[in-house]
Amino acid sequence: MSTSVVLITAIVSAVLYGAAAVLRRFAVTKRIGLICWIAAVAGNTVMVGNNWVINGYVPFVSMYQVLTFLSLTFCLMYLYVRYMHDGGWMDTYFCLLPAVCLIGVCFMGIGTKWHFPPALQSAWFVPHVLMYMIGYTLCAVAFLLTVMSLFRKQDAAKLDRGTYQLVTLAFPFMTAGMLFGAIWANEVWGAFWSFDAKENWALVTWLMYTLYLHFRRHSSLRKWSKLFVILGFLCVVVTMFFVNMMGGSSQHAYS
Amino acid sequence: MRKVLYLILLVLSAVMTVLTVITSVLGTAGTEQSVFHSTWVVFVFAAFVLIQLVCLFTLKPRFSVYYAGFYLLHIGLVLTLVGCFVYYLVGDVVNVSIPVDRTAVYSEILREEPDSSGNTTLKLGFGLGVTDFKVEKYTEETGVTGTDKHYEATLQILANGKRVPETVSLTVNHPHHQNGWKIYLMNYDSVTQSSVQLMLKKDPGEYVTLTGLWFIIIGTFVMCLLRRKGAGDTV
Repeated sequence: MSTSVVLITAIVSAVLYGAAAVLRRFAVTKRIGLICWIAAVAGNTVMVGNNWVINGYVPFVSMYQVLTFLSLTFCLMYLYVRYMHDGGWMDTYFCLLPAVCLIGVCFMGIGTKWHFPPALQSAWFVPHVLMYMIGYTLCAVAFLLTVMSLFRKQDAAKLDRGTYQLVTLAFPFMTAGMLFGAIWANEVWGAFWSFDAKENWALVTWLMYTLYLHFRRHSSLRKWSKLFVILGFLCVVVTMFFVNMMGGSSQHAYS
Repeated sequence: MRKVLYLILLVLSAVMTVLTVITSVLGTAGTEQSVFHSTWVVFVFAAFVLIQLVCLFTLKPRFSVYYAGFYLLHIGLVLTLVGCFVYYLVGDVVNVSIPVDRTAVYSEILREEPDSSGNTTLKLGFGLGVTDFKVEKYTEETGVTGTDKHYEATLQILANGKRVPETVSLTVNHPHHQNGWKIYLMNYDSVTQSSVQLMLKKDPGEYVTLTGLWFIIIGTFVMCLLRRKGAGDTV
C-alpha cells in the first residue's frame, strides 16, 4: 500500500469509528453504527496487516505502528468486555478512542521504514508491548468512564462499576507488561531496573492504579479513588508519548 | 490499620512521582542513576517492603482464589525487593573493553572505579578473551541502511584447571554464564571493530528477584481475573 492509500484508509477508518461512537448511542441507529464499526475494524485490520507484511514481523516498532495496532486492540478488548463482563453498554467509549488513535496516525511518519535493532530481537519484545497495549486501552476507557461519572451524576454508580471492572482487567496486563520488560532488561542490559525515565513513569503509572484499587476498597478513602484513575491515565499518556521528548538519555529511545 | 497502610503507600508513591517528575524535567544524562541509587531512596523501597510484610502478617488467613493471588502478589513484591537489596549490598558489575585478539586471554580486569574494598582490579577466576567479532548491517532492501542488524563476538573462556579454552558465541540478549558471572555483549568499536565492550555482572539475588517477579505476575492475574464476581470489591 502506498503512503497516500494508508493515509486515506486511516482517515476513513477514523471517521467510521467516530460515526459508530455516535450512532451506537441511539436505539434507532444502533444497527448502522454496528456496520460503521465493522467497516472501521476492517480498514484498521488492513493497515495492521500491511505493516506486518512490509516489516516481516509484528508491527510494534514505531509509534505509527503501535498506534495502528492499539486502535485495533480497543476493538478486541471491546469484544472481550462485551461478552465476558456484560460491558456492551461501553461501546461508545470503545469506538471513540480508536478514532483518536487513527487521527494521531495521520500526523506520523507513515512512509518511514523502521529497522529492528539487535536489542529488540528478543522473545520478550512482543509479550512486553502487547501486555501494555491491552492494559493501556482498558485504562483509557476507564478514564473516559470516570470523567463521564463526574458530569452524569444519575449514571455515576454504573460508570464507577464499569471503571472498576476495566481497571481490574487492565491491572494484571499492565503489571505483566512492566515486569516482562524487567525480565527482558536483565537479559539485554544486565539490570532488571535502570531507573530510565520511561521505566520510572511506567512505575508511577502502576502505582497510581495500585492506589486506585486500594483506595476504592476502603469506605472512607473511596471518594478519592477516582483521582487516581485520572492521574493514572495522565501518566499513561506521559509514558507513551512525552517521555522521549523530555530529553535525557533513555534506553527506550527507539520506543 | 488498613487505612494507615494505604496512606503510607500513598506517601511512597508520591515520593516516587516527585522524583520521577524532577529527574524527567532536569533530563540530564545520569540524573536518574544518582537520584534513584541514593541511600535515602533505598530506605523508601525498604519502607515499601515493610508495609507489604505488615499487610501480609496482619491479614486474617482466608482461603480462596482471590486470597491465593493476594499472597502470591505481596510475597512476590517482598522477594523482588529483597533480591534487589542483595544485589545492592553484595553484587558486582564491571564494564570492560576487550580487544579482538586470537591470542590474548585475561584473568584479571581493571575496574573503572575501585570497589567498596578499594580493589582496582577484578580477579575473574577464569580466563576471558575475544577471538572474533562479526557485524551485519541493514541494507536498502531490509530497512534503514548502515544500522546494525546483528552482531556477535566469539569468546574464549579458559576455566580453572582446564588446558583447552572453550569457545562461546555471545550476542545481544543472550548473556553467557561463567563461574557465577553473567557476561553481556553491550557494544563494539564502531569505527575499527577491533574491540568489544562487555559487561560482567555478579548478582547473588537474581533468582530471588526473578521468583518475586513471576509471583507478582501470576498473583495479579489470579487476583484480578480468576476471582469470583465482586470479590475484592467489598468495603
